[in-house]
Amino acid sequence: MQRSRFIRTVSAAAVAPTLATAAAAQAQAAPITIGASLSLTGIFADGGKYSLEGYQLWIKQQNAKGGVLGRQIALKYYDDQSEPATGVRLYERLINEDKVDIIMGPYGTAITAPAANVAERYKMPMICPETADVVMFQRGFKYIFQGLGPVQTYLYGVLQIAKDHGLKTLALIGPDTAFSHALVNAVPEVARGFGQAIVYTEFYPARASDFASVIEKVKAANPDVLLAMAFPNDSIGVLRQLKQSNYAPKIFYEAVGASDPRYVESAGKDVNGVFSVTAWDPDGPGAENASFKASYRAEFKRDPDYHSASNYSSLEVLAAALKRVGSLDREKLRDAIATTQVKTLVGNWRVDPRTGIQLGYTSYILQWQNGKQVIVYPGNVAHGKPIFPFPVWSSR
Amino acid sequence: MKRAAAVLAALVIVVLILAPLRLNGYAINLLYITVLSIGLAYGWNIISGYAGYFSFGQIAFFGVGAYATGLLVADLHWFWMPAAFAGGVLACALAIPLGYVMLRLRGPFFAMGMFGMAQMVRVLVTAIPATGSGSGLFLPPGSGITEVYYWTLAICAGAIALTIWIDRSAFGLRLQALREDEQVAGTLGVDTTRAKITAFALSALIPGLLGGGYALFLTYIEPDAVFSSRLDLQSIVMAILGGLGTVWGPLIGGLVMTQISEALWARFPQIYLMIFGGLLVALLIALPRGIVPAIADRFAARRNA
Repeated sequence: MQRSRFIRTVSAAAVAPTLATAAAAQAQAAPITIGASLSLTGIFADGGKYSLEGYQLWIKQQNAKGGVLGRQIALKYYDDQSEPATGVRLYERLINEDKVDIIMGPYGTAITAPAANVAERYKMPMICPETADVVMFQRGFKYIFQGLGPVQTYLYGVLQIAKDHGLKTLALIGPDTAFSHALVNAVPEVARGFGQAIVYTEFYPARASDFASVIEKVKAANPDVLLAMAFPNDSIGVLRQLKQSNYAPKIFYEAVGASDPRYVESAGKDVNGVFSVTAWDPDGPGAENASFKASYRAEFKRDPDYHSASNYSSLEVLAAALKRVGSLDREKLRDAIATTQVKTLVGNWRVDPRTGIQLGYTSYILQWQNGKQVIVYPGNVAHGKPIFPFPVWSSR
Repeated sequence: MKRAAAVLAALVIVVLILAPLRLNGYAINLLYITVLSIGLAYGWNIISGYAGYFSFGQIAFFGVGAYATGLLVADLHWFWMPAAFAGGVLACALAIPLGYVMLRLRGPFFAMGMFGMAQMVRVLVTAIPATGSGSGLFLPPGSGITEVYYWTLAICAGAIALTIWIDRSAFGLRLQALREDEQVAGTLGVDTTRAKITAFALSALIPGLLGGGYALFLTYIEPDAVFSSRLDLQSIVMAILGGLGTVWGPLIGGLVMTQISEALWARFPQIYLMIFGGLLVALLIALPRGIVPAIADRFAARRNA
């Protein structure tokens, strides 16, 4: 880092005297430091790593284009080990010790909720790219902004598909974590509108690895639709258990675990027919999307998932707001983020300027078809038709 | 010697009280977590160090204190300090019947039993609809970390004072007698049931009082955050490292552990837990009874020489 800056300064000065003033000034200006705490170990590590890579890719690309406000961007991050108290401590460290210029949100509701308090106390605007839960935005805070579509949007599409096929009964299961509770809590309101009833709800322990009893109980309740609010690690286990119990509900949906591109690597052909949700359309139109996927694969040797895209997009919003403000003034930056409308990789950013709740972004329902993720809802962006019903195991 | 110790203690207390005036948010945060873990280690040391009942479940009382405070503050709009106090009293009251049942188990059976009991308390507490169960409970923001820090510091100081008293009192002798041999202690006329239930209740009061502060500190509590097996294990390791059943063991162990941990994680984020674990094992092999007894032995040897 030090060395490369030195080389850049020297070469700029030596090669072209005409360019020297501008280039040297740019090379000498200290970088804008963005600080974040991310879950790189512990139960949220799967999503946390995608989040980090999203931040890293955007920063690398933007620096190649000259940075923001004529300054390079540097990322300072720590691992909060999926622990809320550690997350709080890390934001205190980033703000007080590392003196970062801007903070960005961590991974997940459980850590963002207490971290939001820190942002508020220091009046540091914080875009939260990983919180679909809306409760923390209804507490009168001024400096936090939701960078994902609200939880309701995770459910609307799949329940609409269920309604289209005349399905009436739902079972809800998920790990005992804040996010999965938030999803389950959002179901009744959406289901009521479609005339659907919840016949079974169960939360299993967050680190569970055996799902036999919960699936047997679902089977006994015999719902048309099974919604599993599972993370990547448990979503595979739940799917395997369906197969072992030889149970196939008409619609099987796993948010958000089955949106991880690696889902198919662990579950193979069994993934076909599983519905999930994503905040980002991987096959969406536009050159930006294609180049994002290609550079991501080149950089990290794997496909991005929506967490990567969401974190990447949050920095696009930040850059747009910074350009409007023209400085790092926090109050002006706060107002700019609250009122900016900008098209990003994951949608059209627009938040409620009072609460910071996301209004512009939505979510897409995807389905695994022949080992690939296919967006099947909403209709105007769908790349295929949903397979219905979820194929019974004996017919595979 | 005694006077020097008293002056040193007074000095440390003054520094700790004045610390928030000079420290930034991160340093207070770090100090708070250190004092909190030391306080938890003192709580655990009474039942497990002095009375010899190894508990893997004292964190249940921390969780009870946190949730009681959360509910009183969020739903009944209490001021947080009386709420946190009530949380501690509730945890202590809960410990009396639980202790009456659990303390019939001994050795590894008690340790395992307490582990299970903590899970049970967690499930029961979060089954109360008002706790929001796994969705968590939001507390009104407002009270800063400084107030929580003072609360925690006061309780930690109280826990140390309590331990000094236990160490010198007849009650402490009764606990140590039942640690060494409960049957013999009984035949010598020690009311063992009463002594160990009292120790258990005190070992619940301290985490109960600390839990309320922690809830305020996080402003958002969920089961994993307050029934935290990490905090539980950490305080146990601190007490063991410092010296089981000693007055200064939890303090010394706590200081050593937090300092090592803090020095390591920022420098070696990828392998810090590995180094930390290795160091801990090495320390415990070198000082099997903990730091404080090792130093005491050294002094005793010199005096005898």
